[in-house]
Amino acid sequence: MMIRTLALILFVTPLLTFSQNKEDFSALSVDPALSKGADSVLRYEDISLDFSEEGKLTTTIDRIVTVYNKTGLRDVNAVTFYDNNTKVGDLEVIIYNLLGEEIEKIKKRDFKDYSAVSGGTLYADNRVLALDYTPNRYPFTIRFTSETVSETTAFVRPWMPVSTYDTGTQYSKFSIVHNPKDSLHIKATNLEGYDIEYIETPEESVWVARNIKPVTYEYKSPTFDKRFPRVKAYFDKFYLAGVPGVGGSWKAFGKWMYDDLIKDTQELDASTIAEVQDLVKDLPNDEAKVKAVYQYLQDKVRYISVQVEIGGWKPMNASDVHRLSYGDCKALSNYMQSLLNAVGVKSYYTVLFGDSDKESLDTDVVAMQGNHVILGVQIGEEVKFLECTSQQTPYGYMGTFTDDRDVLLLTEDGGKLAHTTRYEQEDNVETITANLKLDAEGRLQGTYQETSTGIFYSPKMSLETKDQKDLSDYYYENFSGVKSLSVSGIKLQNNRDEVVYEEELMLNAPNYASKIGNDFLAKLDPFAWTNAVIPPRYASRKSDFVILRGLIRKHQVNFELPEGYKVGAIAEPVTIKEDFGSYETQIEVKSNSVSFTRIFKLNEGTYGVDAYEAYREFYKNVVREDNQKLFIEKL
Amino acid sequence: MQKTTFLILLFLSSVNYAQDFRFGKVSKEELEEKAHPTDPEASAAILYKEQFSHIEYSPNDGFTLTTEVFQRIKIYNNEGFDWGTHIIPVYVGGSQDENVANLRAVTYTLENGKVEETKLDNDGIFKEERSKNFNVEKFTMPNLKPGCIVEFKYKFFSPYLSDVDEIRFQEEIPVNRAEVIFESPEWLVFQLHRKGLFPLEIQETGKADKINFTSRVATADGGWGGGSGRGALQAQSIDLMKKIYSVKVQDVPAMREEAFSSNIDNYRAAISFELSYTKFPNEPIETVTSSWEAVCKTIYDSEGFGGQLKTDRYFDDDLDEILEGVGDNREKVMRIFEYAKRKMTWNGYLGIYSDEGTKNAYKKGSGNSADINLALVNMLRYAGLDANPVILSTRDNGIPIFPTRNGFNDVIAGVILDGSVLLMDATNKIGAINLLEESLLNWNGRLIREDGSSTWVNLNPTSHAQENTMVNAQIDDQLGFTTKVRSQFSGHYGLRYRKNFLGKDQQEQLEALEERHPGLEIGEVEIKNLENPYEPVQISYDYEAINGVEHVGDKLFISPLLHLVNQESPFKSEQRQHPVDFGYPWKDRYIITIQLPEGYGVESIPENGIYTFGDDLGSFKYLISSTNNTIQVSTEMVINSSVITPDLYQGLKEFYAMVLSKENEKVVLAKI
Repeated sequence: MMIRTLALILFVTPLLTFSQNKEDFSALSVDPALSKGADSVLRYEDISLDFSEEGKLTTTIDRIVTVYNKTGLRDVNAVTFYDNNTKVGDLEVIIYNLLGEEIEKIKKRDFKDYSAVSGGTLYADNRVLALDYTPNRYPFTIRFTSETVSETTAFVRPWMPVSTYDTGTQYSKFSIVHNPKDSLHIKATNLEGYDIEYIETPEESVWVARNIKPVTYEYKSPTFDKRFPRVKAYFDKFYLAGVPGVGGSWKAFGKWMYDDLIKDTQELDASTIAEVQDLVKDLPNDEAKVKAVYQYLQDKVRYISVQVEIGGWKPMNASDVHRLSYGDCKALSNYMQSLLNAVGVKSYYTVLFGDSDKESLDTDVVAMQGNHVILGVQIGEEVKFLECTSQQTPYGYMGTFTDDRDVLLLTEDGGKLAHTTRYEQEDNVETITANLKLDAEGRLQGTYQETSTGIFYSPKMSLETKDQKDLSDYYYENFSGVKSLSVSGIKLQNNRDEVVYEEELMLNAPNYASKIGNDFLAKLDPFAWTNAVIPPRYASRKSDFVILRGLIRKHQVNFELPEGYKVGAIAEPVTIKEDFGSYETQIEVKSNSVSFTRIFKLNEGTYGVDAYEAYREFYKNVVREDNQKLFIEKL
Repeated sequence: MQKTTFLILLFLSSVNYAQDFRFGKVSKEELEEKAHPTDPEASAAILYKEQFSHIEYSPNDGFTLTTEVFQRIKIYNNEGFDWGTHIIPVYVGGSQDENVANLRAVTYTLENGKVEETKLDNDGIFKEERSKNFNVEKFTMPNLKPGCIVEFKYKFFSPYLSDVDEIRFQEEIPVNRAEVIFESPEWLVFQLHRKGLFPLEIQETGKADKINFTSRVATADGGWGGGSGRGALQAQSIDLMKKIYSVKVQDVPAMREEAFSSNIDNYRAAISFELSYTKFPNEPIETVTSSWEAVCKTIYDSEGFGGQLKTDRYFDDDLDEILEGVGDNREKVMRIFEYAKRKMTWNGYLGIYSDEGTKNAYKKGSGNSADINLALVNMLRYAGLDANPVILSTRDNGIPIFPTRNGFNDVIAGVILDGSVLLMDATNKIGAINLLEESLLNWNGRLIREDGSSTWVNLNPTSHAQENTMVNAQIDDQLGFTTKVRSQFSGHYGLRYRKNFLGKDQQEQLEALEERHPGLEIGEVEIKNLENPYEPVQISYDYEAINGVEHVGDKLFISPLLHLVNQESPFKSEQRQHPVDFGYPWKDRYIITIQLPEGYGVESIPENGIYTFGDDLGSFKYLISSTNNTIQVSTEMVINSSVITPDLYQGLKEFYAMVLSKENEKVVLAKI
């Protein structure tokens, strides 16, 4: 005990000396290494989370930021969220000019008070107090202090000494104060290579980071969380909007969530139960039953986000969803589970992060996580997942919003980690087949077919909802390389059982081939890619690049030549093979026709920064080869 | 005879079974309908919409407007489910609040051939405080299914008689039938205004009416103002006439969004009621609004507008310094405008009324558009210039259809010098005199003079935004291009480049340019005059292109416009409902010189060509020539009108197609 106290004193002293820095508000004293290329520099930040009082979280923030331009203004982050369970105490902003002289003070009452309802949400009771300040001159320095007290202790905000691109960090301190009886679990990542110190006592854990240079966004780089220092923490016991919760292990945490948030919301009335039981009574097995009930759900409900109960974490009652026919992801997944309970099929309320970056739950951090809910269904040994907010998604299909990531299943016996469906390269295939005829005026006419599977399927689902004009406009956008195109006879076939989407249409493009004297020059592949697909160039790229999903795109184009013409000159077939992908073309010339086949593949993986130039070069070659011409001579 | 046929056809086009438009009387036939009869792609349709507005008097609240709304909406498919959620804006925090009452709503579905009703309960109704003075009441209907019908009715009370919400007859879905009645006592005289292209037939009638109320008759000694004695309650009644406007429409087609549109709300079929004056018994006429002149006078007389133009000369010392030794008026305007831009920063809010007060805004260095531009007018006047505020409506705000204060939402400054108007907006740091942000180029502005009189000012730019680009390209031995480009952008083009490039470092500028011209590898970029809005933006760069030359057999094919060639037309849709709005006239001129590679000669070049569009609305010139080792091509594309009406759309589309086809023609080189 004695030793610990001593250590604390020793460590605290340098902290105190450093905090002198707090008093220097002049933009002139920022180390140029931190401000070079930066929109802002975090001069000083002290965030303290105090959990020492049972069931209460007091958050104090003291932040000083030097802002260099309009973009940097957002890094001040002078916003405070609150709701019925979170009260805002002190809130103040002071503005300093270039020389560090105070020029303005903004009090709590001068903050704008908004309802923090996001676009997709019909109603939520969250509100936000936000600074409304128009700087007159850059750079300036701003100090933001706030204190909030919340009855929710379930979320220990992570520490992110670098929280966004193009901002430098001079000093950032993060402390968690707690009752020594409540042991704090910590996960710290990517701290190596940074000037970061850590001090721990039974009551407090403190991290301090110094002098982190700004980083700039780069295309397809690994996500921020994977690259920069992060500290996440959790306790075994917590409160959610005043409701006590227990964790410690996923099993216990899941059990609590199930018992306290889900279980009592699943009752359905007898007639509803009878209705679904009747629906599946002649069906042979669980899978057939689930499909029938899923279809029933999709026909019945729509997605509307209304977030109220227990901080938006408790689903609406299943019986209310049945009556209203709408709900958010929690309500609809929970309702689906209730329906499946009625027909005796086991299923699990499943919590995850919904986003296209494949963000997994952090399985080392046993705490409230995620922003989305789906339903896992036990089919034999396998768990199939259902997206319950969509009226179009086929049974068991995941799409890029929920595929291939770690999720938490809530079972009667407690929480259980699982992984959602992963789509392999061979699953993700887009095939274009076109049979085209060129006439002696240079007009191109013919049929076009496209088949989409795997991740290519999901964006196609919305095609059916477009009217004829929007649908033809969609093809005009897609075939942007073909001038004066018109499309007709569009047929869409959505095979939901097999999860295959087929499109078929007629193309007509006058002047597709340019006339040169008596001859014609035409692109071999009307659906060729343009320069726009080439990844951006960086003078000196810093980060690796990530291909999140493997895929295959095939083109098969058959050209019939006009009567009295022959192929004068044509490109050679090519094969390009790289670690991250490949490209292969075949060209076959017959007496009055030409066929062009191209197969483009990307391989899932993370590739080193050194490979980025090759990746660009690969795309450049693809565009070049894609745009090969066919020279047609008059006989 | 012809008329009869037309009528019959019209009748056929709408519904051919009897419909009962009373709340709750939804028929099976309506529920069974699978698609809209005249617009089969519609996701929903308003079968019936009724709106009855009347003005009531009570001694406590005075005159208030009550609007009874009833709608029956058919939802054909999932896409139409948005029509199951409705949002009613409610203004609060004045002396009286608006409010919504008696909301009743039902969803009708067909279950096994039987009509089933699901009522909206309180758990589907939400109240949200958006800001201090603005709440919204939302409701979302239960049990929506493809094919269902939703009905809702409610009463909306508003104390704001001079600000009656616009009544729409046209939506993004078809409206089969709508009936609107608006009643007002003869003492409150409203003016009806209409907009949109759809014909509306409006009937005006009158009817005798009575206002009943009870009041305490004061005791003889107390009097009205005394208030000490409590008089007896007495029922009273006054006879008067009321005026009734009624509009019935049928089969109003849906509106659709289109590219290059200004605010399509400007074309929507709708009516508005404007309170123009009051004439109470035994009282003189009191004008509320009736003409743009009067509206502007009212605005001018308010403290937040005209009042700000009288404020003390808080800036005089600063200005004396700025203007020292300057005699020329144009120079004075320029210096003051530039000073105002430097001195104050816009806080992002638009308004015709000062928020901070001009004096405060000047001291603080920030404010809303009125704070800044009224201060600018003040300063210009101080320098003895003929300066006035010009109020306007931004594009988002639409074009007002009658004189109303709410028709305007922004103010700029105008100086009359040598018979022409110089318009200035000091909120835009990169703007110049007579170069306003595109969102401000909407319809007309109203210039208000010191005596409160006012006049229209055209906001549309008359001069072309212009690009002049010179390119020198060389084809190297590997058949790549090495190219030098020099461009000048003036007018609104310059403004656009300033917006995109100012504040970016060289690397970011390079990336932005590469993004604009994909496939180019740009070496060095030099940009001049970004900070000086009175000179064209000059951009010079050189690049290497990866695929400028097509090598087929022993021939080379070159697209002589190089990276400047337009790949695709923005006008691909077959039809157009609303005008195409370019924002301003424009002119793009290119001169390109290409050095041929060693050992190759020109085999063929495209022909020269001139294309025109409409009656001097647009033109494209293409001139090309070659010598032994060079090709030179010059093009000029001009659009002379910022707005192209839908009847000219086909012409515009064909014009673009011809231009694109010409631009994409190839030069053929052969080995010598």
